[in-house]
Amino acid sequence: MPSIDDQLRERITRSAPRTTGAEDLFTRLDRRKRRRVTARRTGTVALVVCVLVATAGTFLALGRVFGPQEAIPIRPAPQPIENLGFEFPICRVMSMPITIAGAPRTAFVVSEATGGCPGAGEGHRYVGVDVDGDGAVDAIAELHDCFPPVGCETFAAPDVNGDGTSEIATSEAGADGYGISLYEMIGSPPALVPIEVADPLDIGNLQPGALQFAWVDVYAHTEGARCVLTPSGSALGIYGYDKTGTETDVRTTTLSIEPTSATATVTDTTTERMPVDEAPVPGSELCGTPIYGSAGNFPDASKA
Amino acid sequence: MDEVELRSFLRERYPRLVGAVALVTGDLASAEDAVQEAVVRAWERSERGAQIASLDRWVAAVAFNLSRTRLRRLRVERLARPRLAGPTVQEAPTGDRVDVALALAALPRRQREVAVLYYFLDLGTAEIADDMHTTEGTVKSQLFKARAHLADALALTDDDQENTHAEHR
Repeated sequence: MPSIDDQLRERITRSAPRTTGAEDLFTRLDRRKRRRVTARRTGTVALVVCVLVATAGTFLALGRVFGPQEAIPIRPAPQPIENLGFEFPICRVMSMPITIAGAPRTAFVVSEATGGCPGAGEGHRYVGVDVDGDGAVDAIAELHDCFPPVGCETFAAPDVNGDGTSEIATSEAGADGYGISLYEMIGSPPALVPIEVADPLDIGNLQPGALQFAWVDVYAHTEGARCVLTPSGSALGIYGYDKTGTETDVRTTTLSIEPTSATATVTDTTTERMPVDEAPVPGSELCGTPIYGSAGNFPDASKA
Repeated sequence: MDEVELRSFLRERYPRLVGAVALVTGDLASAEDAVQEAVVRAWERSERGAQIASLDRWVAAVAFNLSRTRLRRLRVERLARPRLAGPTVQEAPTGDRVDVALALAALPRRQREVAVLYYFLDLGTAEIADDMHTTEGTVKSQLFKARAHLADALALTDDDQENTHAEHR
């Protein structure tokens, strides 16, 4: 009898889905490569234009503010806080505005620089929050499963439960969309912890553990999230549906986020039939807050 | 990598790499998309003068990365069963294919990747460790667990049940 290894080799090989590889595959890949080049050039041009316009606008605004007025005494700029308060050298810094107890603050996503800056999706990646507004992070958490070529990024800072403090959303890019993780500030001194799923009624189809949801809109399938109003307040509705016909069943799992325990409790699940055109789609905002990072260009975003 | 090399690669190696990614994701269409994207990136790198030691391994690693997110895994696992009979699968799904697909889908993503790289693409544990940026010991551990699960799920036996550890190359 063949060994288990040989049996596995044979059965997995026999079971692998097969593609013929179309005759014109080379041509199609060539076109795809050209599209990538064009998209990169367009992006570069757009970026340059934006920078030039922003620079000109800034000079104009500064000229208006400072031009006709008396000179303002120059004070030495405050020294930047080393490494934004992280206890190690950092690089690949991304930031987004957040709100803590109603006050504007900042969240950062950074990489640890050890002997140089690791590539996107490589090395150790962290999310940190400047809680008191002094320019240094007060709470950090390590991000996991940040894979090349894009890696983990800032995503959004929605205040899902309406308590005046943002939940911190980070993203990890995949082939056709993003996986989103949510973090909550709890305790004193503050700690930044992943929001955990609780499903006491066992009615949801979410995996236990850290809350994650997809931000995907491809040819046959859509997944995303939005804030929904429930009798007990604002909650997160994670939805998903197939797009194989003109109508679809939109499955929604509603989660109530408890800020002090960083728990997302499944309170309801629904399936609603509706035309595909009327179904919710992930876009450039989450609960009214903008999407940051490469996902800001969604759905044309998960490209390196 | 010139056009002749690339055409040869697409003809001879591309289908197998698509099969490998599809075994991991459970979705042939997205596997093709991921492998095509990886090939295009390899092509661009090559045109910029970069050397790629093993195109197969490079494309496989990038395609796996492209298709890898935890949420994507959840979605693919949930959709795996109906999609096995999807229009892009040329052969009608057989009972054995469904069994193997379900057994693979039940594995954690890393174990599934290791199993596919080892059993389907015939890579050694050292090569897998190199591609996955981890240690060979970790790969052997993942492979051992994957092997035990798959053998159990597919009711595989051999003459020497004691010798169920992966024979690491």
